[in-house]
Amino acid sequence: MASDMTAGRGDQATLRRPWRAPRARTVAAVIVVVIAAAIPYVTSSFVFVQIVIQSLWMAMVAASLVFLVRFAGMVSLAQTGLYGTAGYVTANLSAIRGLNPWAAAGIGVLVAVALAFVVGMISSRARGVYFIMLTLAVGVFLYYFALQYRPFTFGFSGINGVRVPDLGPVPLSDPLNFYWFTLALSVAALVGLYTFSRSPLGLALQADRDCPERVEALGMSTTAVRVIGFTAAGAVASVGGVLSVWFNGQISPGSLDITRTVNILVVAVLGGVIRLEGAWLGALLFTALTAYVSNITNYYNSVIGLVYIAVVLVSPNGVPGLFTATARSLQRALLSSAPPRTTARPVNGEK
Amino acid sequence: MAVGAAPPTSRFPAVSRGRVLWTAGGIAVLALTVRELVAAPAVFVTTVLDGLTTAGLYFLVASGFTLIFGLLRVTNLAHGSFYLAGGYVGYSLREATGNWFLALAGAAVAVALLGLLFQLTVLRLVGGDPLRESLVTIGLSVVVADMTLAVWGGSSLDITIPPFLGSTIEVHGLIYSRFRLALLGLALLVGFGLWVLLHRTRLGMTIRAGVDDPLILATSGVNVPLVLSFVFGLGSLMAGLAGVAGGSYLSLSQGEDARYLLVSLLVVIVGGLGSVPGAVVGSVVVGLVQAFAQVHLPTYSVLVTFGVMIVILAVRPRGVLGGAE
Repeated sequence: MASDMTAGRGDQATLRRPWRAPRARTVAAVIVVVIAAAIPYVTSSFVFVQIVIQSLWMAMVAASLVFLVRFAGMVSLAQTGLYGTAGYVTANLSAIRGLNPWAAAGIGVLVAVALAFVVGMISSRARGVYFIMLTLAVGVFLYYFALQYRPFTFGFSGINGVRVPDLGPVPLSDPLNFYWFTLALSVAALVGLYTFSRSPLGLALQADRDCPERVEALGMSTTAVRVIGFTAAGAVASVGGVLSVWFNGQISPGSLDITRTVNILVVAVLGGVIRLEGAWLGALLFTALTAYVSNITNYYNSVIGLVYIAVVLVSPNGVPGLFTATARSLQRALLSSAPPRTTARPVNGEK
Repeated sequence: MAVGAAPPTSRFPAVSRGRVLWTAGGIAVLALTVRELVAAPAVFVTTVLDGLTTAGLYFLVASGFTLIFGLLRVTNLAHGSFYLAGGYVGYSLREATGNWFLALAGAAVAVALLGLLFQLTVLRLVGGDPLRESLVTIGLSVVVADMTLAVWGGSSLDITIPPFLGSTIEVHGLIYSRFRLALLGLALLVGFGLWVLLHRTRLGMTIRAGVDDPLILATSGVNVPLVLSFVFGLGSLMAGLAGVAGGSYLSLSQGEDARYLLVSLLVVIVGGLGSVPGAVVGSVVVGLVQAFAQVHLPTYSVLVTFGVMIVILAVRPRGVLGGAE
């Protein structure tokens, strides 16, 4: 009897925990799905196109950065260069050379992924601030390459007139269709990155983030693990690049200059670098902020820079972190009479 | 995430491979030099001078960057913006007062104050985490770029050089710009001044001790935060100085901040982070490579410079003079 009872109690305890978490998660998922489905019908066309759709492709690029920071501890400033590379190849092959747009996009992504592999090879031996510097050098270099290598990139003015292809019978040039298409790719990227992070390789990547010496002691090559992780993130960034070219209809060196690099960083920081979903939230906040602030003042870049500095200073976990921190302190204030809870929640990562 | 957490690598294969690559590189450089000398000696000398004067400018920019990194462990990603801000302030001072040297000094001081203000108000708040500090500086670079655009506009500006440096000088039939040589002289002067400061003064000794071990330095009674602020101010001052020199030599426009940030990065990656002699080596290598690439492969000059950086990194991951951390 006694053993039965303890077993029952244990069951209850184990039952309650797995039940609570999925429920909160399902509720959140349902809310997100409802919002995502409703957005096209409740927003004005300006908000829909300039804020929502724009944020979707930006989020893809930012998600690749968040993935690298969160699971590999690599703050890469080369993501803009990678997405720009995919964008340039796609634009050049489809608009200048008249290749089938889907083939052009495929080649663009392939080239960018190959480049990501090379960049990973160059920079994965460096860590921390060294890694930032190397990837920033790569990013700025790609910008100058786009500016100087006129036969392919057409210099300052870039490549214009890139048309959005049709997906079978569905014309993607219609914003609504493009929205669904981008959304589907976003979900695929999110699922893909999370799956990768839970695969043996992804776990090795996280182990490398926490203690490279131990990973090496286990007989794994830290360089190989980091290069593969960097390449996987590069794939997501380059899909974002293709989407950006289709969305904007053009690409120029301005699409991968340092301001864009910073923008992607701002998106990642705003969303908090704890969860990949944060990238989409950060992108939405960023595009909304840009759109509204640029209405009020010409100095919207300064405002964005200051907001970014403030977020880095105040909340390392971005805007969601700000909310959870506020909620937690509110909760603490409200429940101050209740006995303090000592059950420590598992902290995700050190950052 | 620790900066110095590089895995210990086995030394033996690295050294032998490195030696092979160094020898190959040395032979290649020698062969190219001989070929250039035989083909067109005058062009060769001019190109070398171009490379060295460019290196002088690069040293002015990058030495501040490497100084800041050496002591504060902050990669100041706003360093290019400090350069640009210095150039613009110098332009305005030159237009207002007509005195180039006053512009040089004024801009350097102004940028030093800007850097100091940023270090005291923002960087100290982040304190301790080099990654977050670097992320904050990139935010500053956006703000500075936007503000300089608002004040000085988007078109490119030239700082008028003082008349006695405006002409050219002729030696043995070689004609060369006086100002470029003066720039090289300024870089040598600043390099010498830095050497004196770091190796012949008590303050310099303190700074070098701080590079090695800030904790021990603090326990020996030195006010380390004060030294950190001083060095950040000094590094910014150098960027401002370089901005005026570079703005007189080339021109000032939006986007130059990214260019000189890249230059600083390349120079310290090639030369080794945090060491002033490394900045000398790095700027000479980058300057010469760029000068020769511009003569022979103008379209791909950036690519060539970058390729050299990658080769050097393959041999020495911490740069030519970068020691083990």
